[in-house]
Amino acid sequence: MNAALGFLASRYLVSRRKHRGMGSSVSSFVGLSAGVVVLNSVLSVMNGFQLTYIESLMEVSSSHIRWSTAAPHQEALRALEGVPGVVAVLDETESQSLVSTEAGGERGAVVRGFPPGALTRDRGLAAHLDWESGGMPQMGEVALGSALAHTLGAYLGGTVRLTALTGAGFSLLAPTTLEYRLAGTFSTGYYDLDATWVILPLAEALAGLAGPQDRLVAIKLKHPEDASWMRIKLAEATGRPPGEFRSWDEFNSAFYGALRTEKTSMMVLVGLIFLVVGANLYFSQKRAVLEHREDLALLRATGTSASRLRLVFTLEGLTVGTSAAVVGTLAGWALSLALGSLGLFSSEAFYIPAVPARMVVDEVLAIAVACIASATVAAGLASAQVLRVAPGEVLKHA
Amino acid sequence: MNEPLLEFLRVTKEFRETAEPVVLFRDLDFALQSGHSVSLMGESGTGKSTFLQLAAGLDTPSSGAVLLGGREISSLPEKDLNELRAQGVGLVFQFHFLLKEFSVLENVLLPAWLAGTPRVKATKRALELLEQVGLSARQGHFPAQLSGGEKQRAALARALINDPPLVLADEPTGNLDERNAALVQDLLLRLVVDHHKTLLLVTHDKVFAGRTDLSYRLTAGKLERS
Repeated sequence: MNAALGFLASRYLVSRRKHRGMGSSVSSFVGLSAGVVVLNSVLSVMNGFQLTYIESLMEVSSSHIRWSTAAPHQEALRALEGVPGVVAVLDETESQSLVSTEAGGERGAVVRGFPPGALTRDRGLAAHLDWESGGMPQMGEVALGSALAHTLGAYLGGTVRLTALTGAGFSLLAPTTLEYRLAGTFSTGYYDLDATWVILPLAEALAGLAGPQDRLVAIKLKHPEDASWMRIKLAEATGRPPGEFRSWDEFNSAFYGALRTEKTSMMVLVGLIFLVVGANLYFSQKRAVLEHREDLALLRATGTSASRLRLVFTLEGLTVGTSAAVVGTLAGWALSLALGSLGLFSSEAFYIPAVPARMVVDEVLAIAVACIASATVAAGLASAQVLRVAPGEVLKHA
Repeated sequence: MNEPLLEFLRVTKEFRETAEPVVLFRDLDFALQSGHSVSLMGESGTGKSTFLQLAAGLDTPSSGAVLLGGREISSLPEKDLNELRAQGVGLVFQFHFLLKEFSVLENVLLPAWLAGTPRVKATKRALELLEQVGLSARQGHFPAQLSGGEKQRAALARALINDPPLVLADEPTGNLDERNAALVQDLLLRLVVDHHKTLLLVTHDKVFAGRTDLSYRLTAGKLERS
């Protein structure tokens, strides 16, 4: 393509806009930009929520890799800590319990037993446990998720009872109820955790509420995305089968799968706007070719090939698509930032303090490419009309 | 005698769109020597414009061959045909066909620029031609701002921008008043001589036709010297 074709395309584009005001190219530009803005902002908000959930689950609940083992030896824990890429190894418990308070509330809960110094050893855990009151429990103390504490009417310093079935074998199971002082309430940013979680010191959990089957080792990595192959390395380091080690995405696969399906559906639905605008552009470009048929006939008669003239009209689609992608992306980015700071939702009425919005580069690029491609392909298809212009016929009968 | 620049060898042109095919001409022979100017006259509908379009490679003969510079036009691949249209012939029509979104200068230089001539060089040549057709002062104007005669003069300049050996003019003064027609006729004939071009002119104007080296009449599918 030479500069002359670009010159021809730009002059046609400017001229049509000038003579028709809100012409088809402008309306296509507006439609495509709107599509890009909506897709970017909707997906950024979805990403915001999803990544918040995923990070909370990954850092607090599942950890990056979870090793389920009845009684981890100190030797094995040290071996895990020595594997390159491992940043924290915590010996924990996870068990079920019934939690109740003096106020009379009762709820089923997940009891997590954390070892001493867990928050200093695991910075990710510390970062995602937001202490709304008090702090990490010591011996004889317990911490509740903020939503759970609210439901149970628990207050700092008050008594919290935990009841669990314990015993060596199913027929010997008996309820055990233990009392603790409430030392703190926390928030993870994920309601399901805040409404069901109870934190105890590991020794307290092992003393009365958790059995060997409830032991686990939570492992944090420098790069969480490496979890799937790091499992193998950890299995080698401990001499255990890789099946005992579960990565964060495997552990939460059903939830992540649902999130992915939700996002894909939204992308497809909102992305339909590109099809609609593409169709509009297709018909407007077909009309543009017909309007310029005498010009095209003359240019073909003076030696410009039909394929090069098709480029003139395809370039118009490319220009419209690219401009819409750039403007839409910038506007979508600005809107996403604004959504995060506008405070559209009251934290008193909703669980979220603010709308989280995060743009993912790959998605932004994919949206921009879809926008450019829809406009360019539509214009390219419409430009096939150029082939129908018979220069001799047009010039003879004009 | 030298090889003709344009040659029709037993050219037949017929249209088969209707049940009864319309034959414009059958087994027509014609030769145009380089540097000559030839006019073609005839009543409307006798096929003069089709004759010209065959010469320009804008139409193909039903049978026979049209040769330009010794090359058969109808058998040329698309790329060579485009090159021939760009470099081999300059076209002037009864209607100017100036591109309305472009200035006079841009209209003149576009065929050269699109054909690959650098813009600076094409602009220089276009400015020279506009000076020769007396439109230097109008180079920045758009077709809508020109008179009929001026538009046709701009079209003349455009026809010569790629320096083609053959100029094909299809009733170039047909839409003009007497004074402008005379002006364009003088200009066309002078440019053809000055630039050493070969001219094939289709016209209804006997006086204009009489000013060319040779004059033919197309009647009932036959070419006759007049």
